Amino acid sequence: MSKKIFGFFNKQKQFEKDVLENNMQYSSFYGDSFKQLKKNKIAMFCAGIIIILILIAIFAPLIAPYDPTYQDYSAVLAEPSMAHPFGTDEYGRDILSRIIYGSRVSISIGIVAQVVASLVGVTLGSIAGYYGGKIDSVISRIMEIFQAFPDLIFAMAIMTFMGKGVVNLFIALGLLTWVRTARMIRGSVMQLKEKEYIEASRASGATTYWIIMKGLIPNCLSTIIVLVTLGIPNAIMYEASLSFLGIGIVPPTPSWGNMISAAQTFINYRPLYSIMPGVAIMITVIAFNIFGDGLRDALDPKLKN
Amino acid sequence: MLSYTIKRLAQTVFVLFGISLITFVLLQIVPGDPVALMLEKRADPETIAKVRHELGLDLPYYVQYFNFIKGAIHLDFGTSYFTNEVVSDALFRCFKVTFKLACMSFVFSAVIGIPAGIFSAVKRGKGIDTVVMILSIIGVSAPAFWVAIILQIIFGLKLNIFPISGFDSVASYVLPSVALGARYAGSMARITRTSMLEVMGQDYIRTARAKGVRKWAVILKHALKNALIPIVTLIGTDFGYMLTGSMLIEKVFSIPGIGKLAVDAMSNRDLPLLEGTVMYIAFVFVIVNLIVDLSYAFLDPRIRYGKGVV
Amino acid sequence: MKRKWTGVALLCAAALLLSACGGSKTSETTTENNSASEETQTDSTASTGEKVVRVAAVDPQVALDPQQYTYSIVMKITDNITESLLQSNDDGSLEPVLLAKMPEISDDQLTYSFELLPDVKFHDGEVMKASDVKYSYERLIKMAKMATLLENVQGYDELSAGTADELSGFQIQDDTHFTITLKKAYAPFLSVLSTAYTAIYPEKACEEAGDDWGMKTLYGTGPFKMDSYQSGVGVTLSRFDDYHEGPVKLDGVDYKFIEDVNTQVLEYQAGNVDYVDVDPSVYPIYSSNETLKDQMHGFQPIGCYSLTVNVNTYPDARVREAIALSIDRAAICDSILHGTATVPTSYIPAGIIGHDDSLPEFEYDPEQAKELLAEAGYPDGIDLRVTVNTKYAGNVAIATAFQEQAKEAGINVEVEQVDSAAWSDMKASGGVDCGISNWYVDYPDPESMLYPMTKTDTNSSFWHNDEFDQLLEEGIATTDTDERQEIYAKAEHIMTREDWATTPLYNETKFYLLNPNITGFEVGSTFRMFWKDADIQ
Repeated sequence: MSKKIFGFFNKQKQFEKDVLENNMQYSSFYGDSFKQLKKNKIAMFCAGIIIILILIAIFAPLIAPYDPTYQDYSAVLAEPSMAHPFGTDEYGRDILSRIIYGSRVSISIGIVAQVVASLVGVTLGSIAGYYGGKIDSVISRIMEIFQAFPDLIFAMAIMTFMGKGVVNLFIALGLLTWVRTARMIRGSVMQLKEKEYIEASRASGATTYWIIMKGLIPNCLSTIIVLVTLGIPNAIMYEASLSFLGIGIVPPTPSWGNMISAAQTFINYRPLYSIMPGVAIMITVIAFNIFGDGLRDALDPKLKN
Repeated sequence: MLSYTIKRLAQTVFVLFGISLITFVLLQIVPGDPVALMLEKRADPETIAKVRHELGLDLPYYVQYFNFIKGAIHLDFGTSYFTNEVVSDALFRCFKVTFKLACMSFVFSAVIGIPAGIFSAVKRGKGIDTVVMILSIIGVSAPAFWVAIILQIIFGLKLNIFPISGFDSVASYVLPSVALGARYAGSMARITRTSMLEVMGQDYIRTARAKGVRKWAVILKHALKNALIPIVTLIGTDFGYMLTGSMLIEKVFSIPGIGKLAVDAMSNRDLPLLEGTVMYIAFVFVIVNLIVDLSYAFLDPRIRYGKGVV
Repeated sequence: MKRKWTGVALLCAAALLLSACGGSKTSETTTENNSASEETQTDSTASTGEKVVRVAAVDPQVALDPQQYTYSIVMKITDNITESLLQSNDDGSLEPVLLAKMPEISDDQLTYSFELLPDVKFHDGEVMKASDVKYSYERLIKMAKMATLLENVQGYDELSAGTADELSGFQIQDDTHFTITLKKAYAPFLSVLSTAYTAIYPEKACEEAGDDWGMKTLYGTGPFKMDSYQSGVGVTLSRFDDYHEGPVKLDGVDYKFIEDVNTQVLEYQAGNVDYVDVDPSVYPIYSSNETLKDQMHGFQPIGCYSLTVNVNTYPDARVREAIALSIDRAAICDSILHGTATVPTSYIPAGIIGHDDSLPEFEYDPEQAKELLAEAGYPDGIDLRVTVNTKYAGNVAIATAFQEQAKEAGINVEVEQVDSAAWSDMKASGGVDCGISNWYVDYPDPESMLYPMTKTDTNSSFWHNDEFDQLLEEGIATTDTDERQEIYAKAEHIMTREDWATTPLYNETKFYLLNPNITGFEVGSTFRMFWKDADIQ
């Protein structure tokens, strides 16, 4: 009896070692990839921009010249000046400060929504890929339904159902973008599960949970990282679109999307008010896109197209 | 191939069914009542009950859904709660507008995107390549609604070249299709460039060049032909997306297309209209994907669909 | 590869700089461009030759039939096509439109005798008869939506319940004479007959059109006839030459559906429309613009914005009073509304019976609010969920300002934003704890203002007060203006200063831009748009 158990544990140890070694190979692979990424100057430049954007978001209170919700009615829709480089909005709030604070919304939404998307996507994708058969069919159909459902209508419904707010937007955008992750992970897991070391661990009685968590997902990590990075600009665009339609971030919290929406009324008179939030979105999205491309080229070239 | 197509079509029916159910459930759980909205001023309980009964909204949910499905099978989605317009008529009316817009932005993005990508690939590393790649990344990264607003103010109001809104003349479609097509042009340029570079690196192209065949002849005749598969796939999907309407662009330019219809149906909680619109969008999406997958197999004989294919 | 991307980054930076510079440049040249577009506007109007006014409108997306759809955007159009028996003026007085003279009222105030103008033609050529009037009123009741307007007419209940086919209180003497008998005295009755909901339709054509009424066909007796109504496109009206007051000066009115309000204003500035509604938020910009300031016109519709507290959630009147005291109306009017709104002294607005000018303005007193809350057992303040309909962007700003102001009084405001469909549902089902809403009268009578506060629960407060209801009953049964003034002032006092069921916030001014070449057009406090007397110079 005890021998049996020990035998089991020995076997367990053995394939744990296999799996972990396999993962070790990956970590040296990460080292190579990082070197390759470092050579890609433009991607590194964009990484720099991303770091700066994140710092701006974190230290917004220190950087922004004004409180972004402070309403100064003596300076409503002021023209750009030294005091207000981009002018003020219809409530006399400093536009520059609002753009700076807006980075908090955009970046946190981009990242958190992608974390949510990855959690859902990796879970469902790996289950579908690992089990195959009926389970796969069901999950695949769910994915197709989610993909074919008009995205903004879905977001509208979710936001109306849960109420507006940043946290709900995280969830809505996560639910909107998980399918791509799930598809990729499903494909990778399908290929990986045929690999010998996984076969071996299955034969030695490892739990499915262990195989998926320790054997399969770490090997999909590069795919996940690339998908998250490339998903962030996507989520930022969604946030901007939803806020523009009035169903995303609610005022007075500044978001680049709701700023563009509010500025539209005044575009003929204060063009900078409309232009600057759009430029902010563009810089952020470009930085994440180029960095994501670089990351993909370095980590997972087969993901291209 | 045929059995694959049939299997995919069967899945499509399943997906559409799932979508109709989700739409129905979503509208039940989302707060808001079309009748209270319709009555606006004198929404007292008795009047609300009376109108709900007229619309059949007092029936049990499963009966309502079953009635809807019964109609949907015969492509009868019912009539809008608000306008009394037959849903399929409304869809067709908006489809005509969206279709025109899709065609124009498709032509715009293909005419700009593909040649730009070819030039960029041929002149790799040169100034024009850089410019094209910058423009394409801007096109992909700029929010379309923001581009729309900027185009509207510059070309509509300041320069007065194109109409600011509306959809009654070809000219009025110019700005919306540029705003909508910008990001597609960007991604087409990028994919064309990548695909061309890949093909141009291959031996037979080099051989042709070595044989003294004129440069552009090689590029257009041999390289482009072989680089076409990923491009066709992409533009097929893009066109499909365009056909589902753009809520944002349609809003900015006040164009009554599919996107606006969907948003209006959602904000009015107009169930028949929303079901119809969502089903239409999903149908286009699924069918376009199917066609793209099939044409992929057709264009590239190496890909064969049959058993065991993921 | 590397070099290329470095170039990309550099050029991006350059492009950004350029766009920033370009931005500030455009703002300098704004005024010039405006005057330029003004010139094109004059040209385009002159060159067409036809006198057609182009109005920017939002697509109502429903049949143009006020009996079914009560949106103001529907009436904006139909008021020029169909007419009611009477018309109310800005000062609240009534004048006959389709009647030969003002109706005669019996001594018991129950029977009204009407005489129609002879030979009034509908757009289909039919002559209007008393039976058409009867048909229209019966249809209004059967349509249910605004039926309660006629609830005091004899036979209303039977017709509404479906137990009778006819409105028994409506008696036809001959083609031009009829009487209407009421169940009880109802002072605002003639005012009711001036609303767009009681427009007169031709029986035969309306019956034949069925569901197409208001979509493909709409005939009335008005100065313009409907040529087309295209969803998403617009409505075109042309002059009706057989109009009973003689043909009007304009050749037509062209309503262009432009969904986005910002785009509407752009189209005005480009000279493509002659009339557009504007939001008060743009007031400071337009009023400081040389060309636009003379083209901007304002009017105060009869009604007001108010903060309504649900009495089921906050049963203690002291708490409701504290809420009322913790909003700084003057600051909101000055700042968010740029001085375009005024702080009210009473819920019943100026211009109608029951308004009391001698009262002080509603004030902001956070200290007293705190005391009241403490008295009511909330020394640490309360949490308050304020629900706002996002359809009105201004409401969100007001709720946000209130959030700041209420802190002083120890009220912690949470702003909940919902769309129109959710709003009307929550309002009807009691889901709104505290909401910002507006109400405009349908006819210039205090009953139209206070109606939602009594009997039915159409108002989100769910407040009921027997004395108030009693006073309202008295009010409609009384014809003497002075007596009515006293009754309604008293009723209002109970509602807004004793029970604090709803508290007035401000009286707004609405603005529109009008092409200076158009004369003879003005939107008055009745908030209705008649192009009848307009002309283009």
